[in-house]
Amino acid sequence: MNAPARLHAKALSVAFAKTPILKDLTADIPDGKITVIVGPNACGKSTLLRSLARLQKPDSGEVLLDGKSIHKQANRSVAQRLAILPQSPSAPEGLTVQDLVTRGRTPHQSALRQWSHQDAEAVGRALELTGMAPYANRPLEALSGGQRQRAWIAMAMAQDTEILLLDEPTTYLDLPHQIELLSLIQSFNQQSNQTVAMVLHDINLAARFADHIIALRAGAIFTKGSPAEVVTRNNMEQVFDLRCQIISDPVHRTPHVIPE
Amino acid sequence: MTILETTSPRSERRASTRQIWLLTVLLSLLLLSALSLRFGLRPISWDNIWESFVAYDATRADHLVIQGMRLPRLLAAWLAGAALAASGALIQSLTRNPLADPGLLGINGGASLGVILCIFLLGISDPASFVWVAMGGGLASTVLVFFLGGAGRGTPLRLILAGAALSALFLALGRSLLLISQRSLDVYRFWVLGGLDGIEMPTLAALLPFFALGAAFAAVSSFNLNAMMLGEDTARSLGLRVGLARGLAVCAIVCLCGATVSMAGPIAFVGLIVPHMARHFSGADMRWCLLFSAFLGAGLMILADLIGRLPVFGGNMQAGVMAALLGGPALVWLIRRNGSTAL
Repeated sequence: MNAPARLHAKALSVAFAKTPILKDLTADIPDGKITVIVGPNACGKSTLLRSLARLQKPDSGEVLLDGKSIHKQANRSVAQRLAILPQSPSAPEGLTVQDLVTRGRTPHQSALRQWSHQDAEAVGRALELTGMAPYANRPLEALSGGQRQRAWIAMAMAQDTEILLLDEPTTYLDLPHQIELLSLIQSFNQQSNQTVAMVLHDINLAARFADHIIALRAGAIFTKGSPAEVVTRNNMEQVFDLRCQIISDPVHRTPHVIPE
Repeated sequence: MTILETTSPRSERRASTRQIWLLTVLLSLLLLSALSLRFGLRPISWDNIWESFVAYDATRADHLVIQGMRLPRLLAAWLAGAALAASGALIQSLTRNPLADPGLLGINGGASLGVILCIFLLGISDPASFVWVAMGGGLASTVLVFFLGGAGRGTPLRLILAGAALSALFLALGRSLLLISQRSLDVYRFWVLGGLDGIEMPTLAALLPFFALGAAFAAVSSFNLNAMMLGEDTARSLGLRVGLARGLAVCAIVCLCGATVSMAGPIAFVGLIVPHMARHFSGADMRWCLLFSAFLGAGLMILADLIGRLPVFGGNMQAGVMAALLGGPALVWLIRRNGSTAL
């Protein structure tokens, strides 16, 4: 048996207005890997991710970060280890990319000690990795959708955490930009060994970029494992009610879903 | 990387533009302050002003006017303008609503009701004793608004709605008392217009701790609000305790506005208008926005007070009224020129 993962959901149950969203869900987010959470609309994907990031308080059960309940740890100390990019975040008008990415350093700063050499380095590195350095002084609203999303990713990277959670980071992006963004996250994961967990809608992109897939249905884990284990004809029919054929992606050798 | 090298001078230039603007604003503020000491119903020469500071002589009328009237008035204008504008910047950022005014937290409504009750029930008519009544009323109503608005856990919208509802209630209560009592109305009229007349050094000294405390809370809040303006989820994800941060910002507003309203009565518009002007210089960084708001607010109040003292206006146009007369068109001009900078 392996050592337990640093981020672990234990018997989580969440309900909104008495409608159960997650039911007694237990899951590990494997360290250093890219985990993708998939499932049909309203299956609780985002709620699971938000719970993992302590943005959603569970009705019962708990999320463990480094063996301790995430809600019982100081918020700032959690923020130094775990970053989450919420779904379609909003920024005030006039905020420049540089300003935004700098905000990612908040958990490493305080009102009395606001800027350090490490901050400058982390911000510079995040801008460079995401290719946003040439746009550093542009206000966010003057960027395209793809660039804006990369700026937000840069902010999360500047936070310099070992765990990064992303809630549908590819929403509103066209296919080339979705690929570009996910490749960026993948290369970052490979270089820095950062643990990544994200919610994605597109099962084929999930199969291509994930090391580990968690398939949810109706608030519970239907199945989990490697893309080859999860993306099968039978699972797709059970999870998404989708009749399909599975072929092997000729380029990446990952499973590829062809809906019937 | 070459990319980084080509962009860093640009960002430095941007930061230094901001510093040059701040310096310009500060210098204009000092100039206005000097003019405000010099001119009034009785123009006083620069030499006499200087002497009143270095060699004060209580038997000379010029010295008495400078030290006893114009200097306290100038300091009051500084404090009121800076406090109102900074609170405006805080509440607009806190509620993410560009139309928010610090009065929305119910401070002015509570302070007014406190003063009216004091006149009506206790028959007090000496403006100096209104200071603590107004302060108490403002504090009490803000605490009420904060808890009705969810005590930091509710949405900012809920906070404003609670503030608007309570303000309306206090206003109505106050007005009904004034309708009953003509004597209360006569006293209240002078207080409510919002002016800097008759403010003396001891009042300023007594209120100074509140302004200082408010400024300290505001400085810490500016750091928090930089994260809060990215939305509540992002702020929490960045390690902020959102409820605590909100509470701290409200404390800053209460200290600053409570002290101002008890010193100079309810002054509208400064808190609404000045932050919009400040954002044109500061961009979206709350720390700069607060600095610019404070200095521009102080400048606007001093200018308003100076112009209000011109003989054209009979020599005693209230600074609060004049600030709105000046600030309104200035804001319209800024918006037409640059487009609005929202939050």
